[in-house]
Amino acid sequence: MVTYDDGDNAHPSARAGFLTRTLFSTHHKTIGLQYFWLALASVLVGMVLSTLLRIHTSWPDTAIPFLAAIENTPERYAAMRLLHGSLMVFFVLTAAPQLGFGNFFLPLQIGAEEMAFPTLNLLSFWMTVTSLGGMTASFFLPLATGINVWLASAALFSLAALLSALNFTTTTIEMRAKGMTLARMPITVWAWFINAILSMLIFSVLLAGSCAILSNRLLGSNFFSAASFLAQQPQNLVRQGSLPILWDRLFWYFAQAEVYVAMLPCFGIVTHLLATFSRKPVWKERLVILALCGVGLVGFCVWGYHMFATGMNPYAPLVFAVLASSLGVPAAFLLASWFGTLWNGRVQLSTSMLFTLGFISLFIAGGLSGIFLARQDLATAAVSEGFVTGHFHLVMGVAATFAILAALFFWFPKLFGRRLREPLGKIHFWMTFAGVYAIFMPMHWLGLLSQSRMLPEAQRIAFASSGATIRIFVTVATIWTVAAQAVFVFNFASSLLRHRTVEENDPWRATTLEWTIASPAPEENFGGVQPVIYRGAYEKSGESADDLVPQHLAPELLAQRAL
Amino acid sequence: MRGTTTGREIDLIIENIGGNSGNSPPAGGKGGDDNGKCRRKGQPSPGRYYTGIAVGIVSILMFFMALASAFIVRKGSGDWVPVHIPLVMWFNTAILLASSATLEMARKRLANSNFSGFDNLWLLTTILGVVLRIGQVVA
Repeated sequence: MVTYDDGDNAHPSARAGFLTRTLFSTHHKTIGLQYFWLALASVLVGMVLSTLLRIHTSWPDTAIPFLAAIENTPERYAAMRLLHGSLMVFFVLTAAPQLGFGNFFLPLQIGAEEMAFPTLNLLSFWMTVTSLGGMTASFFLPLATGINVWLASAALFSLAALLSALNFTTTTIEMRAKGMTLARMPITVWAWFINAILSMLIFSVLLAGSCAILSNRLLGSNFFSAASFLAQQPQNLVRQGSLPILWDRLFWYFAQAEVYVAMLPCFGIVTHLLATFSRKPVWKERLVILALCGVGLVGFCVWGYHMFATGMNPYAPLVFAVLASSLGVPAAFLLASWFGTLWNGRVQLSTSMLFTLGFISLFIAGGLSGIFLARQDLATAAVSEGFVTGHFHLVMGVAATFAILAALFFWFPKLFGRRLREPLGKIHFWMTFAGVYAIFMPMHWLGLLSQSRMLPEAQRIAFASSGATIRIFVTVATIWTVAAQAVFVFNFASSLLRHRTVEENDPWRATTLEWTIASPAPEENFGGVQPVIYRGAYEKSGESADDLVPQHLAPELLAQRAL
Repeated sequence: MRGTTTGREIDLIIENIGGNSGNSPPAGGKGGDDNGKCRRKGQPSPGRYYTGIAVGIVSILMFFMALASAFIVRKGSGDWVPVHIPLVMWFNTAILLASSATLEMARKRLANSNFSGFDNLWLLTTILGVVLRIGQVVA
């Protein structure tokens, strides 16, 4: 059922106090921006941590000021990796594309004044902030306490993600403007919607798992007893040194699908930007929507994909291998649509479009190594830490970051009323693009080399020697890529500090509703006027028309414009 | 209760149960065949609460499915010690089911504007809730 929003959830008035307008505002744009700042801070810290980790791996004896101040133990190194992963996965890849851009632009793109449950949205944001504080604090605490604090923070983040998912789903179903039918929704909205449904399904499981393991640690319960469970398994099913742990299963039920939670909004953003910057409708738009649903559905079912080595039933890997491989089908649909949209398009190579194309490149490069990981036999032979790290950083971490940057360059005028500098953006793109390939491609080779222990002694020594060189190369590439982000930070800060604001509402000639209002987006989204939608987000006015038509333009006005 | 903010919300819910007038979206481009519904301007959307609850139930279901699966797997291990369930727990379960039924009956009476019937069933549900709480303490 659709009930068109009429602005009854409008934001607090301008007369409200400073804190009500900023930190405790329930307005979707304010909360979206706060998620964005949270993600930006997290990604900068996360990158610094990754550089420290790489330096420590290549030159373990180097005295690093920050690391020298803390305990220099393997546990501390593992804790730093955990903090890097937590920041990047939870507060960057989950927060930025869905909670940041989604909160800001979902109501704007469907013609609503607000999210369905604004107060719940604010609660969700502050729970996320608390979770970030907890995960960061856990790094500095003694190990046993730190793990408890991390688990409690993960549970809190899960609860916040569930509330956000509820808000996104309800807003999309209930708050669409007149004429914004499901078929006319922009692909970005579809991606946020499907992603919210997937989030609801998987964060519940992480919440339950975190509660159970916390209960084990604090209340003396015994949910996850690896030893007793292992003792009950037939010996022929248990591999040497493996532990079929229940916690693993619950965790991977969440963690494997979390990859798609990070990627789904990026698929939506990339599809949207390709159409906008190619001046062409999305090729096979409905197939893209089906592919997004397919990614969500299959992504929900492949939780055993990374557990081939944990003593599963011998038939289970076959099922998960087939499911994981079948993810290639919706991925192929998406790729076909992206190339179909580009085909014969009037491509505008803006920085946003460059990052979009970079996303496609990384998605293909990282996805190809996923084929090896999806097969149990190949995975057993080739999988090692380096191979998996290279694979998921390319296909999930870096690709998603490229989509986030593409979206930032695209929506910056609507977010801040200014434009990022294009020349600096392009320099930043090429430096980063070269850097990430130089980091993560050699990691695949490192992973394969680490399997060389099965080779004769002479060959093993030769491989180990080349491995050390590659490790140093990867570290240098990491330092290069992190340094390249200084260009972005300068571009971002100087653009924000510039007084000159954009004058036009729609600098990219985009068709969706957010571009019908002023830049930056005003406090009242549509000024109390309900927008009416007449067509899909990626339509031309007729067979002979050569450009996309805005969604809100009435047919009469369109006819007048044609004259 | 009527006349207060809560009463206004309930009135809106009643209106929503009764259904409101349909209004087709403007045609023009593709995808204009989704028959939406339009509320009178100036009224909150009660539909979002229904949708929100329905969506929330999915999350809650998954949460308990995860815990239930952990319970089943754990029960299959050798060192599982079964807990004796006191008789009063079965009584509590019956009370819980009965209170759900009376609450649903109360909601239907409210939807039909039968306020006295609603008051009686609401009171009964409250009493059952108190009895359940006592039963839990006893168990």
